[in-house]
Amino acid sequence: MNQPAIDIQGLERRFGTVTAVDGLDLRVEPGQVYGLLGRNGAGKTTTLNTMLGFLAPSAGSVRLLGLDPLQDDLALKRRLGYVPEDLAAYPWMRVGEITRFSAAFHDRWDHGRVEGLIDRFELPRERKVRQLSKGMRAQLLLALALGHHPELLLLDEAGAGLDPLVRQQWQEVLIEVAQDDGTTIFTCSHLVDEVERIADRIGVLVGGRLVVDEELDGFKARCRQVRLWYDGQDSPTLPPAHATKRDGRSWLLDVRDFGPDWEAACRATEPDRMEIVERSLQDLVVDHLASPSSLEVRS
Amino acid sequence: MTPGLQLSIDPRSAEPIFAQVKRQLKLAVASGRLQPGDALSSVRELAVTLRVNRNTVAKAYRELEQERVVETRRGHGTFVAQRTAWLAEPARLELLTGRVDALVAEAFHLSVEPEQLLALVRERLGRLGEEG
Repeated sequence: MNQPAIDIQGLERRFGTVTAVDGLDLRVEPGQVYGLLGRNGAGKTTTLNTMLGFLAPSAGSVRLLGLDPLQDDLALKRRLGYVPEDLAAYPWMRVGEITRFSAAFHDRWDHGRVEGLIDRFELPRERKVRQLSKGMRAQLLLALALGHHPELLLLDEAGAGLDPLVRQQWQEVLIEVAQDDGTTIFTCSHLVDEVERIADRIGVLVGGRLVVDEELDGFKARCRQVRLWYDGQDSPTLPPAHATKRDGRSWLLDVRDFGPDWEAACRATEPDRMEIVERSLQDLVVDHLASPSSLEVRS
Repeated sequence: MTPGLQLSIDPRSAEPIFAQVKRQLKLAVASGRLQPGDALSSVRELAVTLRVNRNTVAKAYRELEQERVVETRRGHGTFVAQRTAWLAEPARLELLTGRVDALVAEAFHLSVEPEQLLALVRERLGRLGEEG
């Protein structure tokens, strides 16, 4: 097996008495697109900050491209791209200046790629950073993060608040980079739709732990909502689901290990009617945030 | 890809994206918008156009190939396959039976009479013919 692009083992990070990340294991293979989802305060930003070397772990280890973000800081920066949520620095610099400025930090800089993206995004080169819209700043950050052909691209809630047309271009660029450069992409996002489009694998972080960490298709395939009707039975024997609730005259089961066996198990309880419904990723993520599975699931 | 073929992806749908791609390509073939021998976009092109992960498109193509809807000619790309009866008729019908059962059950619960259901099926089949 290749060396993983991201290898986090037993990561803990405490702030005083607060544990922000609580025993996190996470592995992302080279070339994968990984989407990390979770509520504010779930530990996404803390995790990312330890990956970037901004924070030291309280316990556990973090390796990106086989390197330690704290000790191999410079070696890692040459191979890593980072797109933060917003660009706060250098408000006085013009777009054209900041691209030259960024290039100076790297031995290898693909001017053609960056200028091409600036043209494609139609960013005004004469305008100062502080005069750009939030969407334009996000586009500029993405273009700058790609100048040195990073092997790994980290995005932190990046591109939130883009208008639909710009979002479309943004997603195209991410898809192209993953395909053509084989860049591993790790994105922390609230945008479930976007993650569903671009990710191979997703993680759901709750209370500093992953409650979901698996291939997107497999995750969707194993989760179903099953609705069963038993006419005239007040307490039927139901198959054991993650959660069960009564809904009018029917029973609603949140099933997280669905498969052919499940359908058979439902039929064996002789319901008068049954419905098995696929769920959207949005609904599944909300379910898992509200009621995490007790066991971490891996595939 | 054959010019003008429009696919659309709804990431909010419960249907996985690879299944959406697959279903729409199958419909395009069934309706004659794609004909045997027509070239499909490369995985790369379609992934960028639809803005979805390349593995998603690759999976849709792989399954379409397994179902003999398309064929891959090494070095040349993916093409709509000649329609061949690659399964014996009983097996082909069996593949559809589950879908028909689900449809019949839905119709029952929506109080759609059997004649109405059959008329609807005929109308939709007719529409496929017209599109071609």
